[in-house]
Amino acid sequence: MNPETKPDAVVERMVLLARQLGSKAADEKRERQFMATLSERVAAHRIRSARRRQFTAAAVLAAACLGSLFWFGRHVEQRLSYRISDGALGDGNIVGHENTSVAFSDGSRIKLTDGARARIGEITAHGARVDLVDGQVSVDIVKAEGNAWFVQAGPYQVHVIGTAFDVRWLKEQRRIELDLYRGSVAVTGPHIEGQLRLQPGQRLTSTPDSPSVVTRAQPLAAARSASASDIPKITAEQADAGTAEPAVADLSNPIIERHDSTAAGLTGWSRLVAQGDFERVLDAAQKRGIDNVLAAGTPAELAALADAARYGRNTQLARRALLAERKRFPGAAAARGAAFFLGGIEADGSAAALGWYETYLAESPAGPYAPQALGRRMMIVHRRQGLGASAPLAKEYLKRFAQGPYASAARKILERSAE
Amino acid sequence: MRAPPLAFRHVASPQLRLESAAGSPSSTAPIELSEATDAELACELQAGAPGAARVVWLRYSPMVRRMLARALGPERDVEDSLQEVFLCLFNKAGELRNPASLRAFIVSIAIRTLRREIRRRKLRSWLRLDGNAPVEDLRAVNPDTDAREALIRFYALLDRLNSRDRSVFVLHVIEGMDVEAIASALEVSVPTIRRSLTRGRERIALLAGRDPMLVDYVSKLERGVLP
Repeated sequence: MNPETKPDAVVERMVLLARQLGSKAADEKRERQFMATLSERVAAHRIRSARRRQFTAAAVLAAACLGSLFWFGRHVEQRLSYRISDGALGDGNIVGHENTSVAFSDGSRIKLTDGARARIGEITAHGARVDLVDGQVSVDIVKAEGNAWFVQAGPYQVHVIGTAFDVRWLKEQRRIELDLYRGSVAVTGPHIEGQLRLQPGQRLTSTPDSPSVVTRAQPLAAARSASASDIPKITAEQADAGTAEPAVADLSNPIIERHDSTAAGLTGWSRLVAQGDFERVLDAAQKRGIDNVLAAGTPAELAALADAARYGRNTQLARRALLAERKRFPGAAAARGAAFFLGGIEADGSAAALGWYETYLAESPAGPYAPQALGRRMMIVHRRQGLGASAPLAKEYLKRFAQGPYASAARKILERSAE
Repeated sequence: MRAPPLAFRHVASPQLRLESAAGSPSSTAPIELSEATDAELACELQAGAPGAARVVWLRYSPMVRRMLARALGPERDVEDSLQEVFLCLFNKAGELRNPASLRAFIVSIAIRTLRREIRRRKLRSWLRLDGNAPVEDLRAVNPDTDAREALIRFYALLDRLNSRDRSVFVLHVIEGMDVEAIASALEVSVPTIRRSLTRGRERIALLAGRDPMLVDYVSKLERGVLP
């Protein structure tokens, strides 16, 4: 091989060679056959071309159909299904016996006690509305994004967000009792302004004729033997104002979201939020213009918008609404509470979240969210600054909220710091 | 700048009246048509004049055959592709808006057919459905076995280009078509064709320079070892 032979020279030489191609004489026999059958061939070619076009069009159509099916398959949501075990039907209601339960296809389950009557009022892809006609049901809802589960008991509605609780509706007395074991629920109804959010371990007792009472939870079965007067109680109003001396320090502080019923109030966005219809609130705000609502909305509207955005996981809008609440109504209870929620929507364990919890605790040391705010502050400090820095907060927490949700964490911090 | 496409008009293709007389095509062409200009011939073809298709075949099939043969290489039988080009032409004759551009119209059909054939053969090659055809065409013009082997190697390198780069390289470098005509036939811009040409040239030079058999063959030619 000659190493001086350049690639271009190779190509040039091969091009010259290639130019010799195509000089072969035509194959007369094949030409003659071609010309002799030209009419038929042209016709056949035309048919072939038409078929090819039809096939291409059909393929495109089929692809479009498949694409649509695939899209719909992903986007059209299938409603949940459910199966009733060991129950009977009467007057359209499920009548509970010893082991009656309703199992939903997402894993959620409702158990009816003996004699309880309920019906599945409405079922969607994200949940259902259970109408509790009378008696007690135990509800265990699998937590999932976009959940929309409701228990309707007379005039009360419990919005369930992935949780387990017992709820009893005494039809004759028009009385609701709700024990929350895990997760969170929001209750709306008579004498509950806006919505009442309960924490695990809390019991709500309410009748339309008297103030709602939030107490430390007892299993309803055990509570049956105790009269209502035996249970230490505070009213929701007392708890919100922080004036009550609770029988059980932290658990008797319910999370109450107050909305101004004189403005948008219960008949407007607040009610929609209470019903879990966050989308409608967000849509309505969009129609009016988010900036307009933030600049000129009533306190109730701002609060409802912030809640709807938070529940709808629109963090950015929630932050704007909460900041607007604080800016426009400084000193108001809702504005003080907004600091707590702002801490919740900041990144978990971030300095920003810590700052908001400190702000809330400074502004509302005995506010309804104080147990959570102090607990979260303690956890963030522990994570960011270590045991030494978090130990004083743990001590303070146990002193103020000995049975609060962060009590066990506080004890662990103190135990480890003592080692 | 985008090369102007060939002028087509969208009219129903007339039903061609094509003779099916046996015998050599060249012996039966009407004299007046064989002497007609491209524009006149195209009009006759569109009108379905008897003999027009045959005259078009006689006038342009050698050019198209050569173009296809040079583009597809020595191992390929081009007769099927050649017939495909003319069947397509006879079917689409009604779409030719400017009869004077008959030649360009045929070239554009030939290039499209060529690209389709390259893609089809590449697919068959990937699927290992392509048998080894005899090297009849080259054998007819060049009895030198070294040259035949070198040319086969060269076209194997061309097979490694994509269909557009290969078509542009062959049509411009081997066939001698100008880039404007190629751009017009492919309905792409002249710069696109230039880029395609540069890419094809560079890649082929690179591949050819690395092919020991080709380099050896050419160096022998340069040293006068081979005729």
